[in-house]
Amino acid sequence: MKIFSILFFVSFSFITLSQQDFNNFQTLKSIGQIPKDFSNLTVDKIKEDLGNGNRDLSKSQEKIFLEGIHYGIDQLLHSGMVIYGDEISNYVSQIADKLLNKNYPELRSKLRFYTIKSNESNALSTDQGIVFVTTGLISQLTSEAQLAFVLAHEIAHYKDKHVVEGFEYRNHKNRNTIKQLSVYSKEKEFIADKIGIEIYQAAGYAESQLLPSFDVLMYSYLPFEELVFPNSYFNSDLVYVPNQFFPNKKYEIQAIEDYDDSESSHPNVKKRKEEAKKNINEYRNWGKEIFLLGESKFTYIRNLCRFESIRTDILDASYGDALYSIFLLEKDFPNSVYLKRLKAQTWLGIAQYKSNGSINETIDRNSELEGEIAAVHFVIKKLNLEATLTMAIRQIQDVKYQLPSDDEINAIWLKMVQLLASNNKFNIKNYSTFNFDQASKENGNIVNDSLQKENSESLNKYERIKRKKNYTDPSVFDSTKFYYYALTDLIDDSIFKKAYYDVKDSISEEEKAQEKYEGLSSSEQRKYKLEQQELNKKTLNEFILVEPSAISYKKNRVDYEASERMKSKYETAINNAGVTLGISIYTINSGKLNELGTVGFNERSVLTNLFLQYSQNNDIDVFPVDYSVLKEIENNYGTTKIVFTIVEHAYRPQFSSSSLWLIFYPPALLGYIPIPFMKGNQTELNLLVLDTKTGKIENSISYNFSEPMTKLILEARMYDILKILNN
Amino acid sequence: MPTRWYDNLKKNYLNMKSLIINLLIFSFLSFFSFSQVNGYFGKKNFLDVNVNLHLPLLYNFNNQLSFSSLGYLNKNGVLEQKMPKINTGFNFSYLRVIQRNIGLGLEMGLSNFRVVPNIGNSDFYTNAVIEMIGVRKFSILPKIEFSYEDALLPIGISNQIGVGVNYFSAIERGYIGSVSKYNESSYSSDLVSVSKDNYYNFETAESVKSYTILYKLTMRIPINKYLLCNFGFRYTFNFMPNLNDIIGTISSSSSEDYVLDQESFTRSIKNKENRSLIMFETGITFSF
Repeated sequence: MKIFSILFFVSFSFITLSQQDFNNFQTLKSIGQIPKDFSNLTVDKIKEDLGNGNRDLSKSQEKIFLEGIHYGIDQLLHSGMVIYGDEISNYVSQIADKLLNKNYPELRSKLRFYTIKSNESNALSTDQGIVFVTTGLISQLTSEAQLAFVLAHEIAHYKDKHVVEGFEYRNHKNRNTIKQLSVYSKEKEFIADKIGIEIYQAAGYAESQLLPSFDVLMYSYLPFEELVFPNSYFNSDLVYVPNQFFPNKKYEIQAIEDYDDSESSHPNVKKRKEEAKKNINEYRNWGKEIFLLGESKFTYIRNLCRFESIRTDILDASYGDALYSIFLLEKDFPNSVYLKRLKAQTWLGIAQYKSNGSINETIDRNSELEGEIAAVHFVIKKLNLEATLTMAIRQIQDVKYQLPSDDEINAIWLKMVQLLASNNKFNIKNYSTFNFDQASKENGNIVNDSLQKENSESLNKYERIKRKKNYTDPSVFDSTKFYYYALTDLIDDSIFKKAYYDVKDSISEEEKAQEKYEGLSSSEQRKYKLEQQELNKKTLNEFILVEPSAISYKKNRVDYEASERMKSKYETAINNAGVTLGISIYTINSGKLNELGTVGFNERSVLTNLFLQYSQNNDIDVFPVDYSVLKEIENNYGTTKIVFTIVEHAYRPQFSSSSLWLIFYPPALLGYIPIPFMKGNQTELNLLVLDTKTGKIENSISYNFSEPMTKLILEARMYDILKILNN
Repeated sequence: MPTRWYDNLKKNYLNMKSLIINLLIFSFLSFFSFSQVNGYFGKKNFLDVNVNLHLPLLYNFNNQLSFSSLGYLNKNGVLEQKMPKINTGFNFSYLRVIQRNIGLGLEMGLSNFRVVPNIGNSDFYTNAVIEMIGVRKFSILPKIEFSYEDALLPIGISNQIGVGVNYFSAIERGYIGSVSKYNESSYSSDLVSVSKDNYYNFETAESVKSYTILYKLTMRIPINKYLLCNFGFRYTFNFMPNLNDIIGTISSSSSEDYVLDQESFTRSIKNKENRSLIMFETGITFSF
């Protein structure tokens, strides 16, 4: 008995130890050996599939179908969003075991389950037997049984070969996105629901969870909880945000079951529920199970997805959604370092976008405001630039007080201070030594947003105007300028002031240098420019080359095979050019996954996501959401420089109408006619060098050429590009 | 005394010397480029070694039409009425890249061709049928090479424009021909065919100088980091000297030799050059 208890305790500990600690959450990553779905090349997968599968398609149709499917799926698999061997994928696999092992063992053996880190509530299955589930979907569910039904529905699509039929139905449409990958006809959706219910029922799951599953799908565009966002959320001893910055009405939720589905790929929820009820009634012996694998397990998995969803929101620059999700999770995990870090990142992002004038990209439009989350979007929209900058530094500073030695928090803080110093709208001298409460009391007001009160009898008009603008004077109090009373601790903080004024001074020096430059003669300006170029010379002696995105077009269609070849040629060319120039290049790509293993796969995912983050808005030097993981990668490779590339190629000879005069001089045609054909190759290469040490895009280049993409020509071009980047 | 073709060059040496010096200075200046030029694997100097091929279709066709200007070639000591089918030549061309898509160059070339001589008759000889004269052409021209905005010279397609000088010299060797001779004593119109060798007198035929404008379209494809192959078409427009300056310079000679006088020679060259517009060119480019 004693031994049994010890064993039980040890195994229990092992299980809990292998689980994530939400206080120190780390983004989900792949674990274990790389599955063949990820390591096999697309070309090989197509070859293997050709002629198998008993699809009712002609040979050429099958080739087009398989190319579209395999390249589309592989793009998703290597997008940086998909993980394997992780706790969620394993959990989903276990549910699939419950659904299929008893009654459909052969079907079970053909299926593989992976997780997509996306806030889109979706699941999809492919013709090859891969079933994807998004973290967004699991975040929304309320039981394991609901997930089981969704899985059963997707398995039904695979079982009945709806993917192939859908291909015929849609006639070769491109399906590169998750949405497009999961589109079937409405009839097929009803069939999948019917078969799904059959599988679900046979596994012993409860009938009561079926119809609520459709509700989950209907409301999945909203956050995973619907809790009131209090007006006092941002308030503390140091800051008070008046009620006037919050909405004074509720934003109703607009979703209805019976929406117009004439242009939708799915039947509306009402129709699906009605059909489902009919199917439910066909069965008598329903099971009662809601959590076959345990409720705590489900809750744990769901929390993983919810924590992951904030990261995804930040990646997508959906800062309003991120802030609300943090608010929801803070209730259960108030000490989570991860949540604090992401809160700081979110506020930094809000400040950056507000400064850039593109805050509307990060929040919902007024017409889209629904539910309790609307309050967060409303506040972000309502705050002006100064208020936003102040709130951002306030929130980040508060997090820094809680985690003073956290590298990531300090890095965010520094970036925020730099943003403040470089922004003309922020002037620390405007800020009061009194907090909101003190200032309002000094002015004889209670803290309920009353208007300013001043003793005007002894002042003339001009003195009154000046006092109105002087918020350091507590007798001049304006509740709408609440932010001037939010930084009392920072005004005299030596660390803050040093960081702030260091940046201010360097900006001032740059401006003086610019003025001086404008006063120089042309030759002096040229000489100055050369000197500056020499001083600011950026060297690129080594870097990490992330797998490029390569697209080759043929007759206005993507030629997948040519795209793969072009990608490989590009990687070889840049590596060879690097060798010639003595530059060390560390390539992370699909072709090297067998060599790099899951570690390399995860590194590539992080770097790809980093690129996605930067590409949201080219004008903003965003803070990398996977900062800590990025630091590990830097240490691993010994460099902070990362290069991202997009290559596009098409062959399109272009004839100019102005050359028609050549028909009057036929010998000229002999030379002229070949020119458009020789110049018909159009290649565009966009390359970006990111320095994770500074967090800035160090260099970017858009490079075009018209020669054929032979090995040597490409290498000569890469040589040129690397030289340009090194100058 | 027959002149050598390079003797004529020496005559113009001073002019050419100053021309070359100016060109070299010009090229040297191009080293001081303010724009970033990385070149082809770091190399900015290129040497084209080319052969050019010209099909004298227009010239041949024109001569077919002109009854008095039929061309004859020496077929083992026997004259055969035939026009040469192909003219060849070679040239060296140096290119210095000063911008990514612009370069400056200097070309020197040598080519051979044949012309139908425009021979004057003496009092006693007529109906001359003479072998086509060999002509050696030496050309030198500075040029500018340019390509599209994103080009990386010398890779890919490029255009060349140049203005230069050509020097034409008759190749000194024995030429055969046949003439009809009047019976001196009887002054009858009986004609006697006579074959003669070496009956050109080169003393009066100096080298001919012309100016040329060149346009060339070239495609260069890399073979390795140091070599490229090139091919393309060249178009030349030639400006010959004013014939009015040399008309009437026929010198009568007491010898029985026929004289290739300056006017005749110049006319022959002009006739040929005005109908030689396009050439195909191919070769190797060295980078250094």
